[in-house]
Amino acid sequence: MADQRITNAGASGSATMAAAWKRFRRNRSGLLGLVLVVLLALVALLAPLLAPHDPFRTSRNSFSPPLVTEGHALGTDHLGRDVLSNVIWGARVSLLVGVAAALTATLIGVFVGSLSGFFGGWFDELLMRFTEFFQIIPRFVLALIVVAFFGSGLLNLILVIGILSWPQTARLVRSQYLSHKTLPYVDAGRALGMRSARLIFVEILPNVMAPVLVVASLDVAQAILLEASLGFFGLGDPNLTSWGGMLNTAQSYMQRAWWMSVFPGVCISLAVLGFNLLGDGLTEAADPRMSMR
Amino acid sequence: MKNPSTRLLVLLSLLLTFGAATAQETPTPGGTAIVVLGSDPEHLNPGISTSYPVGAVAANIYSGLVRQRADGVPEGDLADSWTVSDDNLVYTFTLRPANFHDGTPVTSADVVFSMTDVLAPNHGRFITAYNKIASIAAPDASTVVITLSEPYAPLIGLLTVFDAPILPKHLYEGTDPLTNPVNNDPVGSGPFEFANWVRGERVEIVRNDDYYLDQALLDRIIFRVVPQDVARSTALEVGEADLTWGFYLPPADLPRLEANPDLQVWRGITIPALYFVFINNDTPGLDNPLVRQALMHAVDRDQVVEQAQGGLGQAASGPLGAGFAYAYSEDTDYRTLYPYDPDRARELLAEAGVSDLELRFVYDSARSAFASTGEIMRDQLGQVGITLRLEPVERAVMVERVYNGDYDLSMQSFTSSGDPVIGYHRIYLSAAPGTPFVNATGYGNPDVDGLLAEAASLADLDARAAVYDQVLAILAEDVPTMVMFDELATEAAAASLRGMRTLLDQRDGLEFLWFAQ
Amino acid sequence: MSGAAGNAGGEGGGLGKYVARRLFNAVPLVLGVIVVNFVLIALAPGDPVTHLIGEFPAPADYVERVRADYGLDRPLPERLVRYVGNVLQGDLGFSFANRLPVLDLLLQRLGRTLMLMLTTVVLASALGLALGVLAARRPHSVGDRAATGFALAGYAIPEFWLGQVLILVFAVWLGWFPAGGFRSVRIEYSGWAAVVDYARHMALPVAALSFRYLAITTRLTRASMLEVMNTQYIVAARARGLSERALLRRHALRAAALPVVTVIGYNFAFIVAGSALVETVFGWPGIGRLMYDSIFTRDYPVLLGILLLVSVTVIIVNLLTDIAYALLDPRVRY
Repeated sequence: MADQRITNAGASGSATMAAAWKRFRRNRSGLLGLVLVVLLALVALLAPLLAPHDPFRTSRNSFSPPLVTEGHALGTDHLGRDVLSNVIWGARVSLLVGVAAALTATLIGVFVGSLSGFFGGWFDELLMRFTEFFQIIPRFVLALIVVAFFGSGLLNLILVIGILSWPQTARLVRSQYLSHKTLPYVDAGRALGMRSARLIFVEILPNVMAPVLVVASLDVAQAILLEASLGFFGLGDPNLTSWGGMLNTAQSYMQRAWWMSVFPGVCISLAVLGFNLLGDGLTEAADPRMSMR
Repeated sequence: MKNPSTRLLVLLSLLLTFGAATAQETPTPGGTAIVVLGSDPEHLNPGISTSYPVGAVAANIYSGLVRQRADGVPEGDLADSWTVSDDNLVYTFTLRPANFHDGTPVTSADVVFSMTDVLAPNHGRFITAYNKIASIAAPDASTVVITLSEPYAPLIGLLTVFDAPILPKHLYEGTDPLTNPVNNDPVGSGPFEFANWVRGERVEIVRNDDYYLDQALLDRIIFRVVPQDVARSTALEVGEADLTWGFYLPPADLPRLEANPDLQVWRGITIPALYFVFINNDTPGLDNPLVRQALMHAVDRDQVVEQAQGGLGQAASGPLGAGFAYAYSEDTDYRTLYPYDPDRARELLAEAGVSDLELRFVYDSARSAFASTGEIMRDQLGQVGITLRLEPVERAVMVERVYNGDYDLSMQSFTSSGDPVIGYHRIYLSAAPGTPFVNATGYGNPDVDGLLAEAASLADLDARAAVYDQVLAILAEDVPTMVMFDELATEAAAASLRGMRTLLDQRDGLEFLWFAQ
Repeated sequence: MSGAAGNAGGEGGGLGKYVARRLFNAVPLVLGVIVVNFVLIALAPGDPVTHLIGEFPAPADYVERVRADYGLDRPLPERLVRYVGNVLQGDLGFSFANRLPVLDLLLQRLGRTLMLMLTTVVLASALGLALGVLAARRPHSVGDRAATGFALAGYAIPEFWLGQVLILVFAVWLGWFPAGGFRSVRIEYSGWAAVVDYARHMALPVAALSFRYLAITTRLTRASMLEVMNTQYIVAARARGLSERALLRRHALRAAALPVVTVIGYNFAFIVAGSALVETVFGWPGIGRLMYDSIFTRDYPVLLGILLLVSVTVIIVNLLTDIAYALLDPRVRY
């Protein structure tokens, strides 16, 4: 009985969640972000149904401008493939890589950051050195090297981007744990004899998730951009359609077929924008003082 | 026109215009031309590298014993003339008086030194000749005698500046040619002298006023490095470049460049090159000739030429391409033997008892034509039930993988280097695994080996043609590689530029360039 | 902003010790960067020697000789130790692909990248500050929304795509700027004309590179300005009758500049990454392009040299930013 009350006191009760949601709903740009993200998810999930053609299907009708050939609303590329279908299927890769990489980064970051913040000491020092290391070399450069050398399959991309992104989350989580571990409910839990593992992951973690979600959302945006950059350099998975890969091919045909470059570019921008806005909206909703407004 | 005076006036003005027009076509000296390179040359010594940009710049700074006109006929360069013994084993070259750019005379000692000390250990193409050479001697300062161990028809073609440049012995003797700083500050005997090099940006050469043959018409040539392929076309269009060779031009831009009145575009064949796909004989399923024939039927090579190569290819080809008349026969033309026919492909696969094949297509990621071909093949092979996985890798990795058998299909392009013996035989000769740029399929046919060796020794083209006919017949059945097309060379230049392609290799003979006013 | 003037007296010595401590900490970091990258690169598949040979089969002992020349036949730990030793003596090795000492190569290209990067930082910071201030003066106005929207776009638009679009619109269709390269090749300008030539060639790459930076700076300036404007301190000053302009200049700007300075400094690493992308699109012969090339030619010494250079630069910029922060914000104690 007693622990139940103590747990409730620390956790984000439903009251604060509802308030947060109300704040979020009022934030117009945050809503826009949510809409964009949901749209992206829908397109990605329903790709097989939405795409009018097989994205890999070539034809002799190459370089058809948008709206000229029937059935190819966004035109065709240099191999006669439908641009719209490729854009739709490309959403899958972008979303998959973005979310999976951000998830990886979040999982690792939460794990490391929580331990570091809670226990402190030499482990904490080590973590700080580690994150500094990742700050020094620009993520893109390291990703470029690793992927260029070790292969550009989907799994590689997700792992590389995820592993390069966790320090951010870790630092945030760490600082959260630093401030939370001195709070009364934690002391109470300790007094009750709760083990550290329970304290870290069951008691404190839920209170800390809000800002973590914000960072995760921004991570997705970064991951999508990073994946597009790698794809632009020809380092995407060649057996899948991706927006970055489309931009890579489009480079050679900029003057002849601007639509090969414009549509994937716009999609990348919208996807990144969506997650950024969502992240901002979540920031404001979680804690208006933390926001940029 | 009733008035006779008017008619006379018109006639006169026509004559004058015509006269003026013809007068404009005499070469006028002077000016600077900007030639595009797609990447910075690694260095400027063509004796230790076969890389394209190195040859492009250095071929005009150095000289070879001979050079080849656009029709392929060899004529003397540093060698004034040469004689061949009756048994085709002894070649005697008489050098003409010439100096290196630092004033030192070029002698036979430089020739012997270049060939034995620099080229033989370091130059991939020269080696093919060197292996047939028994001795190189210099009986006097202006005579070089090359004695072969067996007759080798392509020898003369391998003595141009690209394969046997004559380097200054007095600057290279006693040093390691791979690290000698003269590699970056070359001293040759060619029509241009090295002037300046700003790494990553440009290389400049200026006219050599003491050149022993045709004096360069231009004062200076600037080789401008433009890494982005699309930027190379743009450079031409905005007047920031005067000449770009097909090697560096994206085929997609050609229609636009052709339509531009300030530019001229040329298409044709200079030195034939073949684009093909190695088929790994050791992959289960691919060792069956029926399957390989099915692969040929399944892929629309006309589409590949049009879309992957931007139309710069000839899909009508046989095992040795169509660039050499004596190495091509209509009976073994793949277009007639294996036309695009997916149904036939499926039949052949069923007959071979092969289904659900999954193949890895390995290629150099820098070659966009290979990527596009792979994507077309992925689609079309998929339609006959074969799954293709694309594996683009950097050149270094590609070489390591392909030539050690770690692939199923791999696209390549090999230049003939002027003679099928030099460039194409290596595609089909049995080869040990691990050697790059030769046969990587694991296919080896002793009959083919024997016939190719025989062809290599025959200087008479008709005799060679007869032997090649036999080879082609065998290869057309076995289909050890999928021959895609013969490359069509191209070139885009400012409309006022003249004198290109006077010599066989587009990069050679820049001394003949001039601007019409 | 409770006065922490107590620190003013010990500022000189404290700052010096702080810098020294940071520099001292940086050394193992740089060393770590070198080691990790060296091992990473050495583990990569693909033989650098292949790139040097050309397109034709080369004799086996030539290949072996080149390999030995570059010390590639030695075991990994030995190569690592030798490399570190060389670096400490100022020798960054010899470039496989370019046949030049790495240090010379880097120095040649560094200047060109710095041209782009410094111009970008200065322009984007100045413009960002100005836009942010303008936006903050009238929150939620049309101008403000426009600035915010613009900033959001800057976050989202990939700079390499932006570069391509800029080339298409401004170089190809409109012909106002050159389509690439870093100066005119045909004519060698000097003096003032040369400056103009460089400026024309820099315009588009700088625009592409600075977009994101501009966005970040604008948003941050706006946010911190708003925060500052609402504090009691400013309200009181306004009540005292201080003019709007003096207010901005004397108080708000100084306070708002603080977080902006930190952002500029800490985002420097992103500019480095961005320059690799932009230099590729525009054919700008700088370090970013060199890094990209050396990855694909497996030119390890050049790659390591660049990574070393980048990490040292980022560390220095971080340190400078920290110092600037410390000087600007009297609350900070070190």
